[in-house]
Amino acid sequence: MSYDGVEALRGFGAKYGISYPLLSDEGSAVIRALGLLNEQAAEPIMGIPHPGTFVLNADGSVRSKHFYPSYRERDTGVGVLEHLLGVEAAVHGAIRDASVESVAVSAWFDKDSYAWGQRIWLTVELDIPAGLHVYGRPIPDGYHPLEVELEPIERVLPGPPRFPETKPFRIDGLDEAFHVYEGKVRVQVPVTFMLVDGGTLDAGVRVSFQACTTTECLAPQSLRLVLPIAEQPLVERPQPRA
Amino acid sequence: MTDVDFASLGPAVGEPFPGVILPGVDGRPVDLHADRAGRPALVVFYRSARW
Repeated sequence: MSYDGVEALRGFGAKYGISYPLLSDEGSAVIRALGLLNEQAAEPIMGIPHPGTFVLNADGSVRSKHFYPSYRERDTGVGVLEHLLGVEAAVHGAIRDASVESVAVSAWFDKDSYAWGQRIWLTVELDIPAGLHVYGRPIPDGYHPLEVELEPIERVLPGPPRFPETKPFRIDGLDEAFHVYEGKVRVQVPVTFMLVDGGTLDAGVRVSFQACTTTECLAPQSLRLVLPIAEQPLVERPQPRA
Repeated sequence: MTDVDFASLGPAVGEPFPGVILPGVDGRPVDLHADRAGRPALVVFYRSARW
């Protein structure tokens, strides 16, 4: 839904092969009525909404809503499927994996190319064999929690990693409470790509963790996976006009 | 630009999304809820198709 007229939407839809409805709110009456008018947008762009997405349930109620701080930052199709709707998308970027102390680690971006402004999710999955667990947070001093970090790349901006729920764990004879992961664990990091003409990037992902049995801990591990991600060029960069 | 409280923008989570009828690309009115036909949907508000 946008404040463009029907003609503009028809052209846009035809040019990009858009099959879903494009609704014309020329004059922004609906945008205003829904409380979404961007009141800080002055002429010649007065009438634009705050950019955002509403996810509706089958019964028409709002399941969730998602706004972006800048018109530049957008979720991709896979990001919307997986993070707004909780549906696992069938296609991802290249998977890289490694195995250490029998814990298998895989990593992938949710697509194999980035475009300027896109928020693409990095997933790191650990497959922890039965009998072992990996520490999460909160964690007592001296122990090593699961951590995922994207090595710095200029104009590539990682957000805070999302970790799943841990299970509580106690060791007989120790007062401390531990929080652990078992089995398959996925950590997800939102990464916003704010660069143009960056070409293909080799993104270094560092995963560190400590695996333990119920009676002993293995040495803390740190491994590095390199994920290639290509650049998808922008289609065009038009200027604002009324 | 002053900070916007995005959480309070637009229809609230849990509330029915209001009825919307607007012209589609062929100029004919599209009733959002009728068009959805009882399926979940994404309603995306974007800046412009022209710029």
